[in-house]
Amino acid sequence: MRRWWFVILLLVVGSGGVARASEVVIVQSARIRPYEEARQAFREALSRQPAVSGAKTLHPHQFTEFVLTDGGGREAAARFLVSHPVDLILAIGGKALSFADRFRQIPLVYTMVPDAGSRLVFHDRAAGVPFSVPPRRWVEVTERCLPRARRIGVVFSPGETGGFVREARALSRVQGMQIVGTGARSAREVRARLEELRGQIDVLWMLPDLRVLTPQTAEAMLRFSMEERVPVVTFAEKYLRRGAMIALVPDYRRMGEAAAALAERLLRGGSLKTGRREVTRRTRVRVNAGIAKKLGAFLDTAWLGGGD
Amino acid sequence: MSAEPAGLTFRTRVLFYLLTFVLLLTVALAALLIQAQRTSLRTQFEEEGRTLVHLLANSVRLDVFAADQKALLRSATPVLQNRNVEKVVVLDATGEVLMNTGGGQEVSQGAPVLGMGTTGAAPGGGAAGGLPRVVLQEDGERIVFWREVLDRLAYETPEDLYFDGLGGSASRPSVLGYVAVVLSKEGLRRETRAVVGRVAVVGGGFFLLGGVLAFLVSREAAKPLARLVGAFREQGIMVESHDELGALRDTFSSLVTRLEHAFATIRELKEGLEQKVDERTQELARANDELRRARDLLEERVRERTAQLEAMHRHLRQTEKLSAVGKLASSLAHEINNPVFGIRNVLQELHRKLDLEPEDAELVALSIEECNRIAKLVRSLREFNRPSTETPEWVDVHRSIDTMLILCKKRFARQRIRVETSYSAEVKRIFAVEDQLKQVILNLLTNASEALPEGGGTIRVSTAASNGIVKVRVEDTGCGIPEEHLERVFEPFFTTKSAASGTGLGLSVCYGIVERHGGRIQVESRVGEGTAFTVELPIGEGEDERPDPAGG
Repeated sequence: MRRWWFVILLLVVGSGGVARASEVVIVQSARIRPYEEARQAFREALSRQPAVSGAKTLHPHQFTEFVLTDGGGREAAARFLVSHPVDLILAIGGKALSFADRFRQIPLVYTMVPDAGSRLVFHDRAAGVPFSVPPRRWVEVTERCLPRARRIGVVFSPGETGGFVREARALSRVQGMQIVGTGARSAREVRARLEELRGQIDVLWMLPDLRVLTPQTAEAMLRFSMEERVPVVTFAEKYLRRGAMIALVPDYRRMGEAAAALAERLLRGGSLKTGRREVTRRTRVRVNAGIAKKLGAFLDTAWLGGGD
Repeated sequence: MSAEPAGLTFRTRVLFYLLTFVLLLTVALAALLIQAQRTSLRTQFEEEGRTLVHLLANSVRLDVFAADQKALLRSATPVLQNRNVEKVVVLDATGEVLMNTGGGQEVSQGAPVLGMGTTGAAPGGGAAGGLPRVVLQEDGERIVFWREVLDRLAYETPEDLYFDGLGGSASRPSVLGYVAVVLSKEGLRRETRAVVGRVAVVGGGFFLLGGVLAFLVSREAAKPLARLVGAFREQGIMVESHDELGALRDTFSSLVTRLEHAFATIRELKEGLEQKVDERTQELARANDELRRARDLLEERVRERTAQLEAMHRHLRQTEKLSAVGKLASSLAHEINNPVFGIRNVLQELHRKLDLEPEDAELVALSIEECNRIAKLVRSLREFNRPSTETPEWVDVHRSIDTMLILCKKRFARQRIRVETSYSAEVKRIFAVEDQLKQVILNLLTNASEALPEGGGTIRVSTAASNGIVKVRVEDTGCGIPEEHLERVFEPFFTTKSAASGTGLGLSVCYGIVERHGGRIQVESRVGEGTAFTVELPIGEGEDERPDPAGG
């Protein structure tokens, strides 16, 4: 009789510890530095929280990585996802998200995707980290870095970034600043809108507006900045190198770590019934001190400290 | 070389050739230099046009995109400042003229828009990873450099707004328009004329300098030749030509002829010398062989003479020793003989006159017998060294031997001794004293019989003759003589027998007799096998006039 009790105890303990190493597939749009930083941060953060079975057994997560722009990377990723039991997909970048959207039976986490909503068509269990910087942050950074700037110029398309400008206008008014925004229906109008802003503004915002921002309009804005000695606040580091003064860019490592937190929750069986979840993210402020010096603008970076 | 000036001096010829060479070299170098300069100028001209059109195409991207003619003019102004630039033309993507600084329609109408668009390369694609392709149009007065104005018209995805290097079709630029930079060729022609002028001046200077150098070289080159011809004339060598080279040729021909004669003479002398050397070498080799043979023969003779001298030395020493012993024995025998005869006579008188008891009479008779034996002994001693008083005559050797064998026959029979004889037919008579010869034979037979054991044995007597020498050999199968005794067997009184059976004088007497006859006696012996004595006697002087006993 005592022997039967022992067998039952083993079965109970064994059944409670049925856990295995999670198979995580990372799909990356391209092999560029921001994506690499996010991927590395994701792996490190998720590896610190392995699956646990029984009292003392750890199961490290298994990672398999694919870069779509590598030769045969897209086909290899598709074959792997079809033929292997995968617990989670991490999509880094918009193209990677579009690719992973087709595998709706596999839980999906995405990061570094500016337009995630338009790329999710089939999947209903995806969670991701928002990429865009909210208007409040733009106003805050502009007010703190350029305390003398009162008039903020912006060329935008109402259909794309009209809501952003409205919210920013309200927030800036609170801070004692003014948004001087001019709407443009296409990129060819940007040059004329900029001419309207000549002599009217203290700082120019370059928004991530796909309708009005092209390589030519970006160059026109930067040329306008140079000609009018007006600093440009932008959203990407690549414009910072070409003449913008301040850039509000996502912290790529934090994007990866936030994605890892979402993934860990999904792997533990957390519910996503509420739909797409967003997590709090942080932005980094990058400045081009050389441009500030050339423009003669007063740039206050003391408040940034070592963090942002 | 058929153009060689005839009758000119060496110096004139050299100067002519050098000037011709310098002139040709100057013309060739000038042509090469002008061609290289023209190519270089043309390359620089084209590079300048390409650089200008690239700069213009990059600087007017935004202006072309915006179709802003004022901005276009501002952007093109730096290019128009170039002195070779005649004008600048800018078209939009459809070929519509946006700017034409020089007026006229001929350039814009000839724009290779379709050609550039259908090159197969991607818009703006020139060399992979390099600058876009530039198309050249050229006529007699100008060169037109065409290039596309390229840029991305829009970002394809929001990600492209943020990042570069995402790849895909969106990263390829589009054709916004076209620019043309027209360069006038007048500047190129002006530069070319200047180059030709400079090269002509330099070439002229080069030719003048070369002419001076040619003059100096010809003068210096002719000096040694003139000195050489002068030296020939001083040496009395006939020089018929008037120019230096002809004189040198004549002299050279003369010297070559003399050298050929000299070499022929040397060759003949050399061949004769070699023949003489060969002959002398052969003679020396023959002389050397003869000397070697003479040396070998001389060495052989020296060895023979040395052996003969050693044998004669041994024989002489033995003879001297025996002669001394013989003299001693003769004087001793003479002293002993007289008393012994006196004693024997007394004893014979006593035996004859006195009537003695039988026992006493037997003692006296025994004493007389002993005296006779002593007398006999003394006589033998005297015979050893006494010169022969008997006259030598022709003696039949074989008869003498047979006589002595008959004398010993009874004794040999008693001792069961078998006698074997082997006489040579060549041995006949010798010139000797017969009694002494018989005594020698008797002594040797006696000595042989005494060497045989009680059971008997064999005595072989043989003769031989060669080279005027008769050999008589007496062998026995007795006990033999030890090697250490062979040297002493001919010494008087040397005997290995008991005192009663031998006196030690028999072989000494034989030795003395043979020596007196001019012969010699030898002994060979091996212990246990037997002994052989060989007597060698000369046949003798004169002719044997007696008839041959075998024959008669």
